[in-house]
Amino acid sequence: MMTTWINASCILVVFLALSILASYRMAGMIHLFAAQSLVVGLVPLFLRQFSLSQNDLMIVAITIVSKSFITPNILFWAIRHVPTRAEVKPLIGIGASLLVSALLIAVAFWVAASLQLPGLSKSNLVLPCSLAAVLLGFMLLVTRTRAISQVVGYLVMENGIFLFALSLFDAMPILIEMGILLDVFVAVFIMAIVVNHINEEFSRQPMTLVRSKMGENT
Amino acid sequence: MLFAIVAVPFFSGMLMFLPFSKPVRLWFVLGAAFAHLVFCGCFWRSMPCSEFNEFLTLDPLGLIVLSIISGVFCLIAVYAIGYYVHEQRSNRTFCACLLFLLASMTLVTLCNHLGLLWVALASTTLFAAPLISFHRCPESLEATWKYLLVCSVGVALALMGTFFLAFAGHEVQTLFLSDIINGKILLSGRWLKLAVIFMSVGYGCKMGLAPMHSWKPAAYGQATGMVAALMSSVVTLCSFLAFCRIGQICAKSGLSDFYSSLLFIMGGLSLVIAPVLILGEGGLKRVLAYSSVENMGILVLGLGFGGLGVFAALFHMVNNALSKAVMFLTAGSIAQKYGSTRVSHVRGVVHAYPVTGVFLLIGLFAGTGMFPFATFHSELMVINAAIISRHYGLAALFVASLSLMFIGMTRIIFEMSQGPATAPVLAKQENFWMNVAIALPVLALVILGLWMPAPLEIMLRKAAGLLTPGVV
Amino acid sequence: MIRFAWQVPFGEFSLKLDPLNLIFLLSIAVVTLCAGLYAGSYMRAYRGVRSLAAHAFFFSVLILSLVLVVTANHVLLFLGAWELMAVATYFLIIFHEEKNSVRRSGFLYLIATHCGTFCLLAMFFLMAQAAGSMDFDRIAATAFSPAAASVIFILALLGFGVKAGFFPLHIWLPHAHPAAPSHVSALLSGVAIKIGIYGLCRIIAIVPTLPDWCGYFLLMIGVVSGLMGVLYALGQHELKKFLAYHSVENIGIIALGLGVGLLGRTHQQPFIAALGFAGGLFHVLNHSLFKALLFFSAGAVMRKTGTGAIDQMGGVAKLMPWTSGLFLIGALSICGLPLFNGFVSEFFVYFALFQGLLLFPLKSAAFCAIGILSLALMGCLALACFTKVYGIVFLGEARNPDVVTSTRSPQDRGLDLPAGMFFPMLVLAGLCIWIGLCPWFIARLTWQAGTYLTAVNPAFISGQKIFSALGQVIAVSFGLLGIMTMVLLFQRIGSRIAALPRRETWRCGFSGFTPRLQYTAASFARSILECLKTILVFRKTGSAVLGEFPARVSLASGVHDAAEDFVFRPFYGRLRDLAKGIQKNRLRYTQVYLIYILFFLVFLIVLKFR
Repeated sequence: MMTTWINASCILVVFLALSILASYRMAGMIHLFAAQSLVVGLVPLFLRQFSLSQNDLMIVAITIVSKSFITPNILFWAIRHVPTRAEVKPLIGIGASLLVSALLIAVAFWVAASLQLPGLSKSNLVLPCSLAAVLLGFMLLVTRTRAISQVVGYLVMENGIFLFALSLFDAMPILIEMGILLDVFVAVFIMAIVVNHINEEFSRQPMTLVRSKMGENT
Repeated sequence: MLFAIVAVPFFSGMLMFLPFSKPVRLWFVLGAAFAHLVFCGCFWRSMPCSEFNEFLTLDPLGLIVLSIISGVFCLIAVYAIGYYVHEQRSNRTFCACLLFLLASMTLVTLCNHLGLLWVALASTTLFAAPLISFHRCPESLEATWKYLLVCSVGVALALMGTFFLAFAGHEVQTLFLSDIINGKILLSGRWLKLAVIFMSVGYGCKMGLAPMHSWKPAAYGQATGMVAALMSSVVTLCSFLAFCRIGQICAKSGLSDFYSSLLFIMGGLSLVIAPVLILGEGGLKRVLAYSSVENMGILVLGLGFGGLGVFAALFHMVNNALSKAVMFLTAGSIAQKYGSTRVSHVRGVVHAYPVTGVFLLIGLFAGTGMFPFATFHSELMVINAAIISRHYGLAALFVASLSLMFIGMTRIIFEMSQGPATAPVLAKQENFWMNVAIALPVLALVILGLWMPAPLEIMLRKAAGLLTPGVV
Repeated sequence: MIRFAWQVPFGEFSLKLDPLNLIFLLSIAVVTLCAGLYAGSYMRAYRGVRSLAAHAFFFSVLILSLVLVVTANHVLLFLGAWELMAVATYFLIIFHEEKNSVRRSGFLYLIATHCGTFCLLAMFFLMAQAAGSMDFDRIAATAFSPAAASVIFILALLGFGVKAGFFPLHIWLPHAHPAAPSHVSALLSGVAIKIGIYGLCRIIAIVPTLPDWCGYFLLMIGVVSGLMGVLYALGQHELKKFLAYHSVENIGIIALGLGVGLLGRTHQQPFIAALGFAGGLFHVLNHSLFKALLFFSAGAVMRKTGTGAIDQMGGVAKLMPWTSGLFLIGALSICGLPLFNGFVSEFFVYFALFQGLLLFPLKSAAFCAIGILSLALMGCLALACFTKVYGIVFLGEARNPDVVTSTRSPQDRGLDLPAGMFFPMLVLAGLCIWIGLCPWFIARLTWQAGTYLTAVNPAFISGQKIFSALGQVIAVSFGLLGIMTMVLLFQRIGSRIAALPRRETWRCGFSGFTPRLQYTAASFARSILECLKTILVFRKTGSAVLGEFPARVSLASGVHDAAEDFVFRPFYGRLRDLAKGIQKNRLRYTQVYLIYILFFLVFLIVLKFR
């Protein structure tokens, strides 16, 4: 029973990552990311088969609140000045990117199988799906030009890593889990601030495609 | 005590958001830095014991890195007092981020839990980012973004590696370093190897080893002298500390050869790529960034050689921090006076500003390993270690790389310091505080080059003993 | 022997004085003292114009590091002092740093010497690893395998050869000497490049079991450096560059001597070995003396005329009689003519070569024959060179009257140059003549050093043969001196009886005379250079003079340094093009950097998970 739920969440996470890759509206991407974080946050529930202690419940609650609610709000705040919420034409067209994503998922499964790592008794799909999520997030990072899309890609990667961690560990010290969450949170915060500055500076230019001259001012 | 040394900078950083005037904030930063230094001194006298359920602990390796962090931070604080005489911008974010960065770096040295180590290292990335975009111009924003992206991706990979490591335990899954080292927990097998690879690549991104080095020229080129000095001297050291911890784990689990080969690949690539790319550069700070990449390669190679190489790498850690501080702080002085550090804009510094020009030349020789400076000894020891462990190819590569790097650096620094002087754009006077901040590490390098104090040597040997058997 | 603990990892401060470094210490002492005195007057013109304090500081650092290098008995101390010496010399060379050419030359010097230093690092650490210690004495006591000894010798040749100026590695010399002020050029040629020779000798002393090919190789290097040096010198038209190439030639002679010594050691002929080494070391000392003298005189001439181009001068002897006399003494010494010190050291080397010809097996004897022939050729060509320079600079009439004018400043005291410059030169000239006529003291010192290098108990080698031969030669020289004095006396007495009129220089009967009709340096040397056109890369640009009423034409000729133009510069140029190409074409998007990281990760996983 537990395994089924965990497998389902893994597949859902990968599916959501794929949808993020397929979408071009930033609002859509952020919403899909919120959904994905929700799924990842619910995994400890499945792990413990719905019998949770006070601590675990608190962890789940904090995870879901910070990643599914607060983070997306910060991201929306960062792009509040951008008039059109649409993505400027990405580096690879939608057909090609979906094809590559499918390839990456296949690669993730192949790698997970060929590495022959022991001890994955709880679920066969955890490692491949988390690797797939990481790779898809990475691909998002690499193929998008808008800074905010890159932030979303980074967050999808983090989700993939979290999926792996939460699924396979019975107990992780609360302090560390909180610490990691906090770090991701602060990361998003700072990235959002930087994106804000970038948007103010560049108004409409797509940023990271600018071929900078090799100079610096000071 | 351990908690105090992390808490003091952290709370001072929070205090920075209160409305103080610029000079008051800077003196406050200096005060926090001195307090940190005092704590450090107490630790040298007597090692504190673990706190927080063994989450925080201090061993000789951590103590050395902590002292370096403390020392360099004090220098930066002194330098900032001089730098801000001519700066109009508010220094609220700057001081706050500096102090938060100090707190997180301190935390890195005190960690006994690999998860906490990750948290601290990720925070150093995050707090360093706003410091790079100090001047808010498009290029520096782009550099900050590059830095954030590459280092965050690296840090994410390291997080995966950390989880793989935890999973590698047989009976119990733990991330406590002391348990792993004391043999209470056994790690083995393919999970551990995968973990080591992910963590090396991840923390290597943060350290700036090739081929993950590409953010360095952009970030150091855009950051002001102080920030670049801080980053190249001590932030990279924190990731090196992570490498050392991985080394400790590998040594205990019998994967030393595996880890050494990884280190050789990364270090060798750094030594090959950095000198080749330096030959076409025209800006001082970018050249120094490539020099930093090369020095990171040296550190990692020393770690890989084992035995004498580890001692050499630890000594080089100290020397590199000091020499990079000298060079970047001087570059910052030049940037403030001339408005740029490109060779096309800056010439004849020795004639226009004798003190800065002399520091520039001293920095060149200190950075490339000339005699009275301590870098001479550490570089020589690494070559010696290479020959002793019979890696003759790597020794030859090392020598060739050092020569090319020397050519690249001298070319640009001589062009800048000699010849007919160009008029400085901003025509400022030499600043006392800035010069003191540069003179102190120069003095330290010369002293270390001629005489190594016994306590330092003992501590270095103890630290090297943690990482490898058979230190000479 | 001084030895005390140096609180540095693996360091020890130990110094040792032995017959080998005594010679070098002597030459360092004499030349630096003279250079210091000379610099005092020479630099007076710059007082107040630019800071002399830095120059003086680096001068002192240089002397300190020279002494430390030569007496060091520990690897770290040696390397540290070596680097210090290189840096100090660099700062001394770029005194006139406002000129672009000076900066470039200094930079070339520093790069060359630093690259050499790295070879030395590798070599010393290999030796230290084999011996288990960094102390020279203990390294000397280890036995090295032939392969190891070969590698050590190659690295030593590369590292010390760059400093000494052996043929293909000499490219920094002809640029550094003209760029530096004259006393620094004297220090460079007289002392600094000898430290390279010292290093080589120290390696020869430490590793007594060098394989056979080392001797042959060193001998051939000596031959090639010597010949190429003097041939390039023949084609130079700038005074200091000319002297620089002569340094290369003399280093060749020294290497020749050391090579014969090595051959003697391999063939178990201790007398020849000691003689070859002694000859080389004697020439080290002599060369410092007469080269310093030559550079000092050249400096005085250049200070007076404001230029170093030989073709602009002429008739300087009338203007500066004392300087030209001292230059003449230096020139005669360097050509190896009797009565002067160059002759004595070359005599040692010749004697060793001839003994080798008689006593060595066939292959080595052939090499000795080549050595003798080339030494003779070097001597002749050196004579040709100095005839050219002395004739064109000092004799004849001034080719460019603006340059050669008489301006006597009040402090010159009846001399044609300041006293502070004159006395060191006089001392050096005196030493040249003293060693030439009465070489016994120095000869015994160098003989001691030579026997030290053979690693055989000195009691078993008798210097009788050479000292008796030397005695005969000196006796003949005295005879020659006596005859010359008699001739001079007769001439003096004769001219007192019938006074000879004093006229201007004979103009070979031309009516419409301008001083420009005299020989130029290029035309004087042309006949020899054109024979050896291909080796010397002698190029002429310009057109010939045609017809009875010819149009205005121009002609230029020059010798291109083969090592520099065909080996090093193209290599460096290619490296820079590569770097620039990488710089321009690499993709600078952040995304690509991230893909690199991913690929690297995958690469590692694939590599390590077999």
